[in-house]
Amino acid sequence: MVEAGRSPNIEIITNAQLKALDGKAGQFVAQVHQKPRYIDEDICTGCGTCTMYCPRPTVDIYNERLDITRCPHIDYPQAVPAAHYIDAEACLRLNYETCNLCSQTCMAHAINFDQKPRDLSLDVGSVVLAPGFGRIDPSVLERFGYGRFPDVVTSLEFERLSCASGPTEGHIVRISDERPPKKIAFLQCVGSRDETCGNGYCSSVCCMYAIKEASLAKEHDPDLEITLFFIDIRTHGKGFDASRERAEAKYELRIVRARPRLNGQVDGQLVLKWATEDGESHSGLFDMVVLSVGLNAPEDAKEIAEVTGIGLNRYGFCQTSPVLPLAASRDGVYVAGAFQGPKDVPESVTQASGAAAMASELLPEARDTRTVSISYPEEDTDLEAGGPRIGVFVCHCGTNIAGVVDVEAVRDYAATLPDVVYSEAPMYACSQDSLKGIAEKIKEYRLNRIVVAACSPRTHEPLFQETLKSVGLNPALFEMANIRNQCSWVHAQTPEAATEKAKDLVRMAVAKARLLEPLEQPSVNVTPVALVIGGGAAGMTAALSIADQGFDCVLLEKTDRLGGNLRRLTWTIDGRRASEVLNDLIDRVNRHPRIQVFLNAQLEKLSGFVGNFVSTIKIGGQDQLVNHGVIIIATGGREYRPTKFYQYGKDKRVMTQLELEGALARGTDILRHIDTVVMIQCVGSRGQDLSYCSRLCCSQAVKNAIKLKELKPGIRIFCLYRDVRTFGFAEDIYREARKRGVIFIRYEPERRPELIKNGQGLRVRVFERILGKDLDIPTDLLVLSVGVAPGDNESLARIIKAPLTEEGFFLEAHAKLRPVELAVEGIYLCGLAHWPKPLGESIAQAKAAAAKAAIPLARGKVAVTPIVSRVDKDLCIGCGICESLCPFNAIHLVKVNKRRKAETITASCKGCGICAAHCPVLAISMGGFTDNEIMAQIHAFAGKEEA
Amino acid sequence: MAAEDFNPRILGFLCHWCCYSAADAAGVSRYQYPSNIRVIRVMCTGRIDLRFILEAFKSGADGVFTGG
Amino acid sequence: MVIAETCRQALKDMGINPDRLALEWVSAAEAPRFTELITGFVSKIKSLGPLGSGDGEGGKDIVQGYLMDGVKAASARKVRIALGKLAKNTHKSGNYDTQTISTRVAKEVLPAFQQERVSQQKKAKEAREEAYKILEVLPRRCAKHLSNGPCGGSVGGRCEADPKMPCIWQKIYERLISLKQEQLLREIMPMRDWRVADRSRRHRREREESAL
Repeated sequence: MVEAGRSPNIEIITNAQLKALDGKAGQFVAQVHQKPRYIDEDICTGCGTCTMYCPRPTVDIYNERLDITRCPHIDYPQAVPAAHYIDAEACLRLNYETCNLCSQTCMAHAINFDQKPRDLSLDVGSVVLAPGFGRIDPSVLERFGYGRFPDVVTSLEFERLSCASGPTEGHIVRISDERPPKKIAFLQCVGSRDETCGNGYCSSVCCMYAIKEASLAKEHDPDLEITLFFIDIRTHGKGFDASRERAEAKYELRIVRARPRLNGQVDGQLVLKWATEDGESHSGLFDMVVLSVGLNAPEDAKEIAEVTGIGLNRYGFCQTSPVLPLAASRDGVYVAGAFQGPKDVPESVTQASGAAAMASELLPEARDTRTVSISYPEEDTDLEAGGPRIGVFVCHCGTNIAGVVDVEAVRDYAATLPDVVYSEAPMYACSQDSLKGIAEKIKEYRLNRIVVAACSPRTHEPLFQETLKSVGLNPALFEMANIRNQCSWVHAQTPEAATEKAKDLVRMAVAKARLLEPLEQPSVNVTPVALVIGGGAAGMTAALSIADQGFDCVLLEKTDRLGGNLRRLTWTIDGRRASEVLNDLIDRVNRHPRIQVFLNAQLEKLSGFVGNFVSTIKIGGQDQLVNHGVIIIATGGREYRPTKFYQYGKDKRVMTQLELEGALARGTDILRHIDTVVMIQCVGSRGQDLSYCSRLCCSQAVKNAIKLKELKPGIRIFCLYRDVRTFGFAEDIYREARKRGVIFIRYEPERRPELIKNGQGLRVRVFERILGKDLDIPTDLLVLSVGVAPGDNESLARIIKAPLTEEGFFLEAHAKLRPVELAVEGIYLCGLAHWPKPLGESIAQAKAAAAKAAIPLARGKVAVTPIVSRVDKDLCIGCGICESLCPFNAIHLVKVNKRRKAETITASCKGCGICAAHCPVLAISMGGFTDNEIMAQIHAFAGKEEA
Repeated sequence: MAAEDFNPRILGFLCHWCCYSAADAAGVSRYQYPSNIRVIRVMCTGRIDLRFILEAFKSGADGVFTGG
Repeated sequence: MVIAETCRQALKDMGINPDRLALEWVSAAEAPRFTELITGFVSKIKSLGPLGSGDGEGGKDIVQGYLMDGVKAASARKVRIALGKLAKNTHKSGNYDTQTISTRVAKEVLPAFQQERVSQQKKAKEAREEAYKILEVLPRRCAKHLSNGPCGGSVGGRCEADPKMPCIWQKIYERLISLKQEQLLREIMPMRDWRVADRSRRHRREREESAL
């Protein structure tokens, strides 16, 4: 968010509504109506004095009405813009012409009651709709006792209650008596999967967030007893099942599969009654009931649809198709996030990037005609050259750090360290106003080395370095002490020890900071070509997007034809023929002048770095070199082979879902002798050969079941499952399948269905819990729903030097913030190589990867990290040990005055430091990690007296 | 000295890309571990010089953890 | 790998349990593993006890002394060339077998380290001996008989009592610096026993007189 706020090419218009959208894709005119904030966001410093002085309390909407605030306020400290605004409905000055206290007290004179609403007319090429999701109607919640009993709360309210900076500072209390509850129940699927309230879809995110909220609550109060009531447990995201299982075990969460109803209150406790699957009824008393509310379509969805001229689906979300998941029904209007369908943060962020790609595809000719770039002041070399004057900023991070570590004590301690001339403890060091504050302090105290004790340099170093640059300091004059991720968060139980550790870490950081030197910030030109590895749906989509954005693209496919797994798919989830989609993609790829396709091709070797990669590609036995600037990995996955299970491979009547699709595509004759079909879900998945849930097999099975019913209405279908994970709008086809008479029977992993061969016949035995006994189902066909296994990711990972997850998929740089980037710069990720997912998600992700990959291509230059080795040629004895050890071929020997000397190839150097550690004469030093700096850290570790 | 009273001082050299990231991730997941370790971030374990480790022991470390 | 193995053998050479050094590979995705490793390592170190006090470790001061020389040895060119060459050859051969590396370190690197360390030890010992001698002999020449550093009256390295005379403490300091033994100055010398030390005639007479 802060990044968006800082970009000179993003104008943020708050309090605004789109009133009309005229014109066509590429040439829209948007009419925007903006209501006044009454506080000038450019002048406001976010100090909060106005909130303190305002006499008029109003309900704090951001905190779910659980708290009160004042008319002028800011929703939360990290909000962007970091400026307050005035609640126009409650303000005394605006409604009664009285008061005016706030504008008197504002030292910055930012409050302006003369602001008027304004209408803007914007020329834009495209529109991205991201209005988020709406709330479940209160009338639905009332059915669960919400409103009648104060201790029935929504999950959103619970989230605020458990938030450290929320109304109760993270103490979970009952609304009725403000006492901490002992027993909490979570009710899932409130306002989801419920046709009676008009929301037939599954909201996708509630199962996981309920687990998260329950875990956090238990973390806060280990004596809590928490029960979660599920229909199905749908934790189908990347790594979600694993973290759910961990949470269940660690926090002793009780999981019940039932849909309870609230049966009044006894002695202040809420009574829940439910029936379990075996038909028995139970009841229990709870101090608090949390309704896991689903995601509704946005309240103003209809208005948005009318203004922009797009279609909505039957639930009021934006109408899209699995093949074009980000395109609304009007050209040039795109959609991202929950308005496209309920989804979690990683998927929303992915879609947002994807929508940006779509917008960028319209842009090639106009690119860079209206952009603005930031210029930094010249480096103040005098200031840098003087003796170290260190400023230390110890972040509270709300209560993330301050809740454990005594931040003030650390700040005071920092002030006693040598060369520290200023120390401060901001609430959020990374918030926009704190960054401004740091810049001001640098000027005021002539600081020339900055230490921030906060979170991880991996995520936040660039942000702070930007601030240094903005006031003319070299970004290398910065050091972080990681007192959140590696201290307060992991030593929550031992606050004193954590505070001591924080002091030590600050002392070590200061010791290093004293020795930091400015480093050169080189940049290199980018080869404007993308290499896309993998010619499946994701790879082709990514290649097309890059090409449409105006850049050349090389597409590698290891087999002799494009298509990948899409070739084996027969129908898409909305019933389209997959081959139409496939042929359309292949056709467009082949016709595009900017795409070069290599079949039978594989990446053999990779050298270089973002902007200047050189790949050796083996094409049909021949090596070829390709220069390119970025890489997109779309190598896909493969269908798991269930050879261990259910006679698969031995009996022709046992097949996988894809094989069933394939067989039906070749002709429906096979159905003539088939009257009963049994499908078994999760074969080999979720704890067997594949530890995870593959996200798509449930929808696939349901889709195929419906297809079978369409082709032969009388056919009997049994689907044996663990959890039906038809999330999002796929819930519709699940309901459809049930309506058509497909029988769903749940099994437990401890008691899996068995195949019994009875002469020629096949029988499947499964325990049926309502009957309480085994059921033998004679069947003509046994269809196994198998997951997606990772492709040959390991060898590719070795070539590109990127990490894999435990499950064997590529690991993104950050699950939420950078979901389609790898940690290695310039390499992006999409499709099944990332994690199993349905076609629509793969396509959206491919677009997102294309958007990210286009950034360095469009900029034309990339900054090279200054953390590189430097050889002192006077000391070097030319032994060549460094040259032979460098894993990146980034150091070589040259002749200087007839003597051999080592020299670093800066652009290739990754800064690993192997050369420095092995240099016999200590002639090599590493920028930002010199021997002296590290030694200083070690000495500072030793103790206070040597600091 | 009894093992319970002894609070060892441990210095860690963690690779920015691997172990340091894992340590960050451990924080995100709120895994708890003893607070004895102080970490020096390096860009790669390859950076770790023989001198650093010996110096660490000399500076009073009871143990040195290097993680790549 | 080579460095880690060298380090382990070097530690052993100095009488330090090599288990005090852990080298682990943890990928960015393995946060639980990291947690386990740290927890395990901390309890292992706890069981070993403070540095120098573990089984077979010769006590804190001795180990510290060894380490002082060890760090110097680790910076010595001879040791580092041996180490670098082995790393280079290992890299070239692609043979990262732990046993092979261990044997080769023991054969090719450790002797250099030991030799260097012992010579450092000897040098240090000589330097220390000389420093002690300086500290024993030179302070006697101080006009004020000070045993713990200069009086504060010396100006420009000259004695307060007689500006023609150099301040002997300045000399002591310079010589200790050149021997890199200046830390000895931090040690507080015991109080001088003036009852026996002072045998000046005047004092003796006074004592005799007062005894009358």
